[in-house]
Amino acid sequence: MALSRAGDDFCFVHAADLHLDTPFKGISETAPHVGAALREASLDAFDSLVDLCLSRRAAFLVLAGDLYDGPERGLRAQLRLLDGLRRLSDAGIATFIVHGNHDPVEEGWSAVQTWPDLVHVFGHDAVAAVPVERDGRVLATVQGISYERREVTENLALGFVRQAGEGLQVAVLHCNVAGAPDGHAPYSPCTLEDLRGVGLDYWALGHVHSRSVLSGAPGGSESWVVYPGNLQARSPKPSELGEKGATVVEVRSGRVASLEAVPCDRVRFVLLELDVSALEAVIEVRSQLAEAAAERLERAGGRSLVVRARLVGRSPAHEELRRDGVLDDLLTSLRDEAGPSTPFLWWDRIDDVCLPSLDVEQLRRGDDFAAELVAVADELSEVGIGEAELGEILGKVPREVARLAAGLLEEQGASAVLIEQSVIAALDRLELSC
Amino acid sequence: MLVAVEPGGQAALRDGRPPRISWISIDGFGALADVSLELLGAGLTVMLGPNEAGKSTVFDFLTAVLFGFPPRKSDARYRAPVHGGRHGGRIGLSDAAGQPWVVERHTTPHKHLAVTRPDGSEGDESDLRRLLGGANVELFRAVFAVDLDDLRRLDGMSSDEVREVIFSSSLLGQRRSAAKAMKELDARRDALVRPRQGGEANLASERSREARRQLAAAREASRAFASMRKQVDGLAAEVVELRQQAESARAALRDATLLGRSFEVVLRRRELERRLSTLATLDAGEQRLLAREPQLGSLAAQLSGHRERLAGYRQLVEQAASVRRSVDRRRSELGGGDVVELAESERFDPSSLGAELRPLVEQVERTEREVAGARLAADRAAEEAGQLEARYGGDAGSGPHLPEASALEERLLLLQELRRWLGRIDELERDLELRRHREVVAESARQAPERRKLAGALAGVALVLAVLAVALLAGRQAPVGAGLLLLAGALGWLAWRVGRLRGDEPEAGSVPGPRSGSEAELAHARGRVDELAGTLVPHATAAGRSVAGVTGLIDETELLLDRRRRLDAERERVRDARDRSSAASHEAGRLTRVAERARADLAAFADRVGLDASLTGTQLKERLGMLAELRQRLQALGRIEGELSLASESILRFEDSLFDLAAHVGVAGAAAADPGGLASGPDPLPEAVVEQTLGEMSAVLGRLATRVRERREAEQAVAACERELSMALGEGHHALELREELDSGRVIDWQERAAEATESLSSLEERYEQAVRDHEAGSRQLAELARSAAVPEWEQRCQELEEELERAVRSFLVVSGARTLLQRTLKRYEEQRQPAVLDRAARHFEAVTEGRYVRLAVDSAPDGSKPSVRALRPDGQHVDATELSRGTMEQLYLCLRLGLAESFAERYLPLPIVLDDVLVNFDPARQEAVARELVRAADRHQVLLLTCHPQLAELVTAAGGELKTKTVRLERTR
Repeated sequence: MALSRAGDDFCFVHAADLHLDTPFKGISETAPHVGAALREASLDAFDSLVDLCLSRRAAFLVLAGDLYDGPERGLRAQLRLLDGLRRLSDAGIATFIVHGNHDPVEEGWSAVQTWPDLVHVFGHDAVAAVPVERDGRVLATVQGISYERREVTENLALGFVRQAGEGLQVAVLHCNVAGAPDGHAPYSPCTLEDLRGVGLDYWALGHVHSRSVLSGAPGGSESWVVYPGNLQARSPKPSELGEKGATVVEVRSGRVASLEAVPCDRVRFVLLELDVSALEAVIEVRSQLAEAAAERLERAGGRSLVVRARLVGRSPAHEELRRDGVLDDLLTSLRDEAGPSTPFLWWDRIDDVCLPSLDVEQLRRGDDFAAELVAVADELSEVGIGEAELGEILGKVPREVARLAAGLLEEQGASAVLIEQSVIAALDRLELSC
Repeated sequence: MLVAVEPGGQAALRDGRPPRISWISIDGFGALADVSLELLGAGLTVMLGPNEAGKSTVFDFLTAVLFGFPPRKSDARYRAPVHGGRHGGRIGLSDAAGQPWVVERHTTPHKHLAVTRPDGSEGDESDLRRLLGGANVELFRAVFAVDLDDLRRLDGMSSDEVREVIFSSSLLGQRRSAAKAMKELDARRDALVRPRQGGEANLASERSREARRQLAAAREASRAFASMRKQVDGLAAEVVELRQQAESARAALRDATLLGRSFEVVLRRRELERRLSTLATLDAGEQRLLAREPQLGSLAAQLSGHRERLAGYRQLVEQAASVRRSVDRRRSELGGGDVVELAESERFDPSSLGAELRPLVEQVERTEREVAGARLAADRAAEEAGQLEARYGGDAGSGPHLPEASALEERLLLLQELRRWLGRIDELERDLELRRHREVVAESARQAPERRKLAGALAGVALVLAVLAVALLAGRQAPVGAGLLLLAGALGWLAWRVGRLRGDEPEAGSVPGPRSGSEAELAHARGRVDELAGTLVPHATAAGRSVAGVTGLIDETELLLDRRRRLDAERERVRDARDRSSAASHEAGRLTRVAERARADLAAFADRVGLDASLTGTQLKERLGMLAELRQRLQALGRIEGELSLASESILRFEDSLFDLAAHVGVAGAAAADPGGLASGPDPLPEAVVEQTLGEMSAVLGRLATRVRERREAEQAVAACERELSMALGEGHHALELREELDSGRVIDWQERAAEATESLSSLEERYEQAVRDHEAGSRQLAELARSAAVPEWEQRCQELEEELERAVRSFLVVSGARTLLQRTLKRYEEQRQPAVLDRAARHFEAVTEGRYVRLAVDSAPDGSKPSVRALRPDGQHVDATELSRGTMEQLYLCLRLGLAESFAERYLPLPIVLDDVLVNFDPARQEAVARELVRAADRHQVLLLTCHPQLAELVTAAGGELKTKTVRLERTR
C-alpha cells in the first residue's frame, strides 16, 4: 500500500474491541435521552477514532478484533464502520483489521459488499503480511490473522515471523496474554515470551478491555505489547470503568518512540463508593453522592457519565436506607437533580451494602432470637446453599427465576454474600439494627 | 404503678400481684344493657347463671373492651345491643401493684377507647397494651379466653403470633415480631416473584421475552438489507433502461410530428420561391430613376408648403395694391408738395414733433382757460357785493340808530349788577321783618302762665257742662243735653287753644342777633342802587328800580346787542366781495398776456416745421397725425414688396426642382407648358399644373418601387420559412436527415410512425413510472433500514429487562433467604422452648387424667403451620390428640392452654383466664380434677369460670374453698 505522507517519521493508531452498536449491560433502566446516547456511544466513539486518525495524519489504523459484539452484527454498525473506513481511505489512511472471538470470520453476516481501497481484512487461514509504503519506501509491515470461529484455543501468535526488509514490524492479533488483567476468556492463549520471541516491533493486541502495556519502553529493545482497551465502555464492570479509547503510536526512525492513550469514548462509567459510616441520615448520603458525581462530571472532559453508587460501612443511616422505597426515592431524587443536561449525568443505581450499626459478633454471643438467627445463618454458611437449600429459599417460583437464581449463586462467593445479606435483611426486618 | 413490660421486667412482676378484672359495667352489649358486676376478685370466680343470663355475652364483652370490637358487624362476637344502650362499656382493672385502672370502649364514636390511669390521668392504647402484657387479641383468645368451641381445635394456638409470643420470649416487648417480619418478607417476596404472574420478576421476564421477539424481528429485517439493496439496484437499472426506451419512443414521436408539421412550411416555401421567380429585377436606369424617389418624396412633402407660399404671395400682392391706394389718397389730402416730401424724408420724425407740439398747445389752451376763469370770478364777486349791499346796506343806514356794540355790552353789565343789588335789598328787608316778628313772639311767651290758668278754667267749665249734658241726655232731655254738649265742646276747644299758645315760645338760645348790621348793609345796597340808576339814566327809568324792571331792561339791551353784531358782520362781507372782484380783474389781465405769448410760441413752431403758422394747435396736431400715417403706410408698402420678393424666390426654387425631376423622369405634361415659371412670367405655375406633374412622376416611380417591394417581401417570406424550419428541425446531422425526409414528402409514412410511437410511449411511461415508484419505495425502505436503530434499541431494551429481572431475582434471593433464616430460627426456638410449655401442660393433663397420660409432644407440620399434639401413656404409647375421646381431647387442649398461660406468666404477666362452660363434657371425676387444676391456676391468675351448672359451681367451690373461690350469680336477661 502506498501512502502519501512524506518523511520517515510517522504515527499509526491502534484500537480494539469496538463492539459497535451493542447494548450496554448492567443498566436496568434509562431516561430516553440517556438510552439514545448509550445506543449511539459506540458508533460515536468510532467516529472519534476516525477523526483522531485524520487529525494526526496517521499512516495507518489497526483494529485488533471484536469490531462487533457477536454474530448479530447490526446493520447500522456495519454501515457506520464502512463510512468511517471510507473516510480514512479517501484521506490515504490504510486500515488493517483482524476479527476476534466476538466477530469471527465464519459467524455473522455482512452488509458490506466491498471494502474501500485502503482497507485490508486479514483472513483466518494463516498470518499475512502487508507492507505500508510511502514514496516507494516501506514504512512498516503489518501482519495479522483473524479468528475463524469464536473459540480459538490455539496460540495464533506462533504463526507470526519477522519479515525481511525495512520498516516497522507490526503484528495485529486478538488474544489473551497470560497475566493480562481482568481475567478474560482464554482465547488464542499465549505468553508474553511467545510474543517477544518473534522479534517484532509492536504487538497490536485486542481482547482485554483494560488498557495495558505489557511490554516495551521508549528506547528499549524489547517488543511493545499493548492492549489499548476497548473504545467505549459497555457496562459498569470494573474493567469498563474510566477512560476508554485508542493508542497513538509515534514512530521515529523506524522505532516506536512513544505511546499516547487518547480517549475516544462518549459516555463514561463511574463507580462511586461512599463510606457512610460517618453519616447519620439519607439526606447526607444524597448530598455527598451528588457532590462526588458533580466533581467527576467536571473532570470528564465534556463526556456524559453513568454513575453507579455503592454505599459501604456501618451507619445509623442504614436503618433508613433499608426501608422500602428509600433507595428508589434517593435514586429518583439524584436523577431529578441531574436533569437532562448535556453532557448528562445518569444515576444508574445505588447499591446499599452498608451494614447495620449492630455488632453481629456481639449478637452471636447473646442468648436471644437474634443470636439464634445468626447461629442458623452460620450453620447455613458452613454447609453452603445447595440444591435443597435453594429450593427451600425459593419456594414455588417460575422455572426461569429458579434457573436464573441458580446461575447467580454459581458465581464465586455468591452464597456467602447472599447469606450475609439475608442475615442483615432479617435483622433489619426485626428492627434490631439500631 | 404500671408494671413495665420491657424485657427485664419479669422479676418485678413475679414480685407483684397478678392483674385482675375488678368490675365490669355494660352499657349495651348483646342482650345485656346497663349491667354492672363488682364482685370480681383475685383467685377463682364462678359466674353462675342460667341460660340466657348473658354468660357468653360477658365473655365476648371482656374481649371486646380489652382488645377491641370485631372489625365486622357480621361477626357473632360483635354483639350489637339488643335492648338499647350505647354499644360497649367499662372494665375496672387492678394492675400488679393493685392500682385501679379503668378501660372504657364503645363502638361509637369511631370505636372510642378511654383509658384512665390510677392517678386519674388519661391513658391510651399503648398503656392498655402494656397493662395486658403486650398480648394481642389472638393470643388472648387463643390462650386466656376459652370457650367450649376453642377446646375442640388447636388452630388458635398454632398461629404464628401465639407460637411466637409463647416461645420467643426474647422477642417479647420488642418493637416488632418475627411473625410480622416474616409477613412483610412474604409480601416483599410476592411483590418480587410469584409462581405464575404479577411479581416484578415475572413482569420483567414477560417483557424480556417480548423484547427478544421484537429484537429477532428487527434483526431479521436488518438481514434483509443486502437482498433489498440488490433488488433496489435492479430497480434502478430497470428505471434507466425504461427511461432510455421511453426517450427513444418520445424522439420518434417528436420526429414524426415534426415532419408532419414542418412539411406545411416546406410547401409554403416552395410557393414563395415560385412567385419570386416571376418578379423581374430593375435595370440600371430604373434603379437610378428609383434612386430619385426621395427627391420626389421631398417635393411631395413640400407641396403643401408650396401651396401656402403661393397663397401668401397672392395675399401680399393684394396688400401692396391696397397700401398704394391709401398712400395716394393721403397725398392728395395733404395737397402734396413740401409737406408730403417732408413726410417721405428720412429726417421726419412724427413722434418727436408731436412731443414738441403737445406742451405748446397745452400752454395755449391752459392760459386761455385761466383768463376766462379769472374774468368770471371778478364778475361773480362784483355781483355778490352788489347783492349784499342791496340787502343790508338799507337796514344799516335807514333804521333806528344802534349804539356800538361796546356801549351795549357795558350797559348790560351795569344792568346786571343793578339787578343783583336790588335782590340783595329784598333779602335784607325780609330778614329785618323776621327779626321783628320774633321779638313779638318772645313777648307773648312771657305771658303764658296766665293763659294756662285760663285754659284750665275753661276746660273745667267744659267738663262740667259735658257731664251735665250727658246727664240730660240720659234724662231724655236731648236737645238741652246736646246744646250743653256743644257748648262744652266749644269751651274745651277754647281751653286747648289758649293752652296751645305755649308752643309759640321761642327756644332757648335762639335769641336774634342785633339788627344794626343788616340795616347798614341795606343802606349800602340802596346807595349803590341809586348810584347805578344814576349812571344808567336815561336807560334806567322808573322801571329801573325793581328787579323785574331791570330784568326787562337787560333783555332789551341783549336784543340790541345782537342786532348790532349781525349788522357789523354783513358790512364785513360786502367789503370782502368787493376786494375779491378787484383782485380777479387784475389776475385776468395778467393771464391774457401769458396767453398771447403761448400763441406766439405755437406759431413759431408751425413756421419752423413748414406748416401754416396760422393753424391752431389742434389743426397742427391733425396735420402732424396725417403726416405720420402717410409715413407708416409708405413703410408698410416697402415691407410688403420685400416679402413679395422673398416669396417669389422660394416659389421659383420649387418650380425649378419640379421641372428638373420631371425632365429626368421623362414627364412632359403640364409642366412642359410653362417651363419658365415665374422666371418666364409674373405669376407662378398654377397649383393644378404642379400637382399633375407630381402625380405623373409619382406614378412612374411608384411602379418601380412596387416591383422592388414585392420582390423583397417574397424573399423575406422564403427566409422566414427557412428560419421556421431551422428552429423546428434544429441543426446537425439529424436535422439534415429530417430535411431529406421532408423532401421526400412521405406524409402517410410519418403519420403511421407517430401513431406507433404514441402507443409504445404510453406503455413505456407507465412501466417507467411504476419502476420509479418501486425504486423510490425500495430506496426509502433501504434508507430507513440503514438509519434504523431498532436492533440496538431492542438489544438495549433486552439488556435492561434482563438486568431488571436479575435485580429482582437477587432481591428475591435476599428476601427469601431472610425469611428462611427467620423461619428456621423460629422453628429451632420453638423446639428448644416448647418442652417447658409441654411439661406444664403434661403435669396438668396427668393430674386431670389421674396418671393415664404422663407426657405430651407437639409435632410441627412440614410448613410449620399446623402442629399436632400427641399424648404419651406411662407405657410409652403415643396417642394422637385427634384419636382421644372428645372429653379427653378437650381436657388436653385446656391443659395445653393452662401450660401456655403459665409460660406466658413465667415470662411476662399472669393475665386473667376466662373460661366459658368448658367442663360440661367432662365426667364428674375429671370435672373435679379439672376444678382442682383451675384452683391451682388461680394461685397466679385470676380465673373467671362462667357456667350455667350450679353443681359445677359447687364443685369448684368445694375444690378451692371459700377463701379461694367466689360465686357471682347472674340473672336471666329480659
